[in-house]
Amino acid sequence: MSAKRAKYGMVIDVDRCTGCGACMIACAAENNVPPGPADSTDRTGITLMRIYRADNGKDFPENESVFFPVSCQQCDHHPPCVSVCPQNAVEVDAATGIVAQIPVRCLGCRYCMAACPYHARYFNWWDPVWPEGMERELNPDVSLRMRGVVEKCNLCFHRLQTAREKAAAEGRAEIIAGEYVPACVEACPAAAITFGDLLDEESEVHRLSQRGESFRLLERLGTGPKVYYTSEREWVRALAEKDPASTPGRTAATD
Amino acid sequence: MSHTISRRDWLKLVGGSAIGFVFTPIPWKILDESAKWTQSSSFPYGRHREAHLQSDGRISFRYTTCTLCPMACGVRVRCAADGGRGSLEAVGMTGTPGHPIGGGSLCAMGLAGHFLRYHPDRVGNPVKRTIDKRRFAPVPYDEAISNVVLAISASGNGSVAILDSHPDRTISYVYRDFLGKLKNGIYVIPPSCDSMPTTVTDRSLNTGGLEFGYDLINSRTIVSFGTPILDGWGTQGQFGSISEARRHRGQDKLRLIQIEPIHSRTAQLADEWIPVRPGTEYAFALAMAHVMVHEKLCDIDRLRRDSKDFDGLAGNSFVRLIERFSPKCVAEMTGIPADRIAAAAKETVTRRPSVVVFGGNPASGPFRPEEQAAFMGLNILLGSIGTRGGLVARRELPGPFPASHGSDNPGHLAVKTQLADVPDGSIGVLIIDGADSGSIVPWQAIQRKLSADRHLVVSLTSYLAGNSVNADYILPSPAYLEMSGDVPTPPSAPFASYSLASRVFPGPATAVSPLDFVKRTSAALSVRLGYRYQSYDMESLLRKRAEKIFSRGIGRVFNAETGENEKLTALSLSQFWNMLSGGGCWIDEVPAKLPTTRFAFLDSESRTPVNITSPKRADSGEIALMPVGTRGIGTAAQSNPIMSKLNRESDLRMPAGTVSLNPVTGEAAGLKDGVKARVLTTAGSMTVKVRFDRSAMPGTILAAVGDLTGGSERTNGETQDSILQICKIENDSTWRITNAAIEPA
Repeated sequence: MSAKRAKYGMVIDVDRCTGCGACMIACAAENNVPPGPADSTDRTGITLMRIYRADNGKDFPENESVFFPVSCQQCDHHPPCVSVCPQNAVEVDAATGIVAQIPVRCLGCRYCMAACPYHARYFNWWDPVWPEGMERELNPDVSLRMRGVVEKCNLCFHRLQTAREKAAAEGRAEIIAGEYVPACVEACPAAAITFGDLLDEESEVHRLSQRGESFRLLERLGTGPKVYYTSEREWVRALAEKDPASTPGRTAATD
Repeated sequence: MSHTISRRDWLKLVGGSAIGFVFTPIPWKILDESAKWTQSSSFPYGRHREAHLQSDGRISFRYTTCTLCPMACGVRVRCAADGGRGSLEAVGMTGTPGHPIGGGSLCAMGLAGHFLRYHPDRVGNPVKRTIDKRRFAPVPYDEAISNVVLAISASGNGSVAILDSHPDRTISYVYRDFLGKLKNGIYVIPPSCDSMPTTVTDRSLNTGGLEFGYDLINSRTIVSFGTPILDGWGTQGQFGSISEARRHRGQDKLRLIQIEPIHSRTAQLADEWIPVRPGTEYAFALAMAHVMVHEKLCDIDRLRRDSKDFDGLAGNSFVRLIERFSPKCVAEMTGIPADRIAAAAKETVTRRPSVVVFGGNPASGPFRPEEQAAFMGLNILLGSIGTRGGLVARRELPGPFPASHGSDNPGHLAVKTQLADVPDGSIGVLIIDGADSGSIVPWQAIQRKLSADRHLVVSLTSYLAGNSVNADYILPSPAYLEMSGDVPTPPSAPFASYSLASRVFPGPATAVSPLDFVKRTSAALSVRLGYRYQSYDMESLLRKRAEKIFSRGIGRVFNAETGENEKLTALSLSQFWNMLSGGGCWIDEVPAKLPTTRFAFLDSESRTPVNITSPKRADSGEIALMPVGTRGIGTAAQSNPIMSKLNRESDLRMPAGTVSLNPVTGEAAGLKDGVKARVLTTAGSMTVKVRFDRSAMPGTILAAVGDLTGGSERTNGETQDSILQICKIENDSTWRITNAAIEPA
């Protein structure tokens, strides 16, 4: 196990994100999130990483858009979901800062969903079902979640475990930066997501998080998300203080 | 005072405790935990428990090339050994790091590509359309082949056509050889938004069949007419490079100008979006040309010297044409102020190298030929033909057949014919190859080419998706990752390349490869094929082709396992083959030399000159119906159940059966956001769900095209109806815009 204390986080450059959805699909495939049934909707489906489209609120032709990939924001200061969980099903890993959901402990009360200001938690309304045969192609590193429990992004914690095992096998105490990368980061074709240890002052993720254009969602709540965003557009930065799921400028995607 | 407890007191205590107990958390917690225990103890249960991968822990990686579209992305398949079955299963897909074409990335479709083997729409056995035409029924393969052979023999005046959405593969050469031996065989290519048809380049540039791509990496300005440059167009490597170049500062920054009426992803993200009215893109291009010529922003002497019809001809010259398209005149037509048109023209010239891209989006099909001539004219004015950062010709990729045999001679192979050039009602037997171009073609555009009285349609696909649903026979071929093949140069790429799509998993015994289909059909027809591949399998043919590429001794080879590139000349043939079959890629590094520098803007001296009419005001009061979609639309890869994450479980992509309207347009039609509505055109009507979007141009309907996700879960109400069914197919086989009306359903 890594002895060094880390604080894993990411910086998402929303000026680069094209809303292609590769991160969403990579996340679903990596974490064995099943396709929702035919009557699932954007309220009942499970997308541990979800891209929201928001705009500047103006009409055609002055309308401008931006895509916000939103997963668990990995709150650093008193994560609301941790405080409200009666089952201790959400734990903050002191060694990595990762706020991890433990579905086997979850009783499905959904207090955490109500408490999460980022709408980043999802309830399993159904048992996971894949079309026949597809279950053979599930990721063997990730267990399935049953109906009645809540889940969310754990920053692909299983990948960190794999990286640690590799390091241990090679006689190293620490993993090397870049050995542990969540699936969404790996998949992004625009290289819009930078991931790493925010405490490492030499790291790119630390540098980007300290830039003037970087911001966090709903920073005024004091939850201290470890997911940063960056944009050169002022109106985009202003959106950060609005609820991502009820932003006035939010509109449906047109293509 | 008595301390005895009466029977009544005892009963009160017990009864009260029982009632009170119900109001404590204890019974509910017991119930909850019991429910969890009963499920957790055996979870995953049922079918999942038996079918779930019983990995023995051995993880391995296989490298291959994606064939879900022609973009040739390198794929790294993460495989797990299934100890229970003794088989190997794919448990993850990523791009091959450092791949020269894919850039290490995959699109959303590609990342879920391993699930396609178990797609609910997969066709397991040969099937035949039933007499009532409503469904398919199993048919023995031999019987199906016999009936196809019979139909080919009886095709008479009708032609036998193979529709190949991914040309230049080795199997494509086999098709062309087979068709070349039939007296009535034609090899047909559908339009694709990524490719530059040789009919366009040959007419304007007289380049004798050379194929062109876009050197976008070295461009400083991209002017895109309705092409989704940032939304799945081109290769992943091109996209990554564009994305990076747009982040540069100052003079090095790549600038993207998007000209289209749709507020597409690319329009949203472009440096400048110019929302012209529907159908006026070509006028905008000619107005830009007008500014360039009148303000002498381009090399007029060069244009006079090198072109047949710049201004030399008395009648139909380019200069005479653009006289009619002044910015002031075009401003009325396009809705864009004249000074903005002029500014776009000047910027495009001053920020060279510039290139004009005009593929259109995957759902709306290509521009009309005269529109393409206008866009190509801009490229000629900009000096972007055959230059760095512009449109560059690729050196030819050798075919699989030995030159000594003569099969590479065009006289032996059926020539490539664009679908639009096939006469209506001329095809008696149509065989649809299962590969996808990434762009959709409406069934009506294909159907009109079929003989009206008698025709047979055969699909060699793995899935009941796209146009295969209209076939009379479906003869299933092995699915993605189950069949060896090759992936030639992506249509948009500036240099020739070649990769192998090696088989990773065995396919089902009932699946028959297209090569075997051709072999059996030609044997039954007693057609003597031009090359001895009757005795070859696909791997042998691929080896032959690799040998021909190797013998040229040019280019470099990417090794997927090491991520290194090596000069081809530094390798032996066996090393080259091993690298290719291990997911590597050969790539040329030099463009082709153009055979001539003479251009023709309008092909004025030919019998069929380009005829561009004068600008006219856009029709008022009509609503323009425009189909929209992303790469792979209408294919099994897009209808992969997991893609529901994008279009049903979130609203990232507009699902099929939905239209997007500006609230002004919707309210004028008596509609509200989220209601059902009926879209009416001269071709029919369709019920859709309405979404209001303030970014949509008033007077337009943007209609999402594609299949519904999760084929097996479709209910009777969720049919395969596509908005393309009510789009008007023009005589030139285009369907970009249809006049429509919309009313409450």
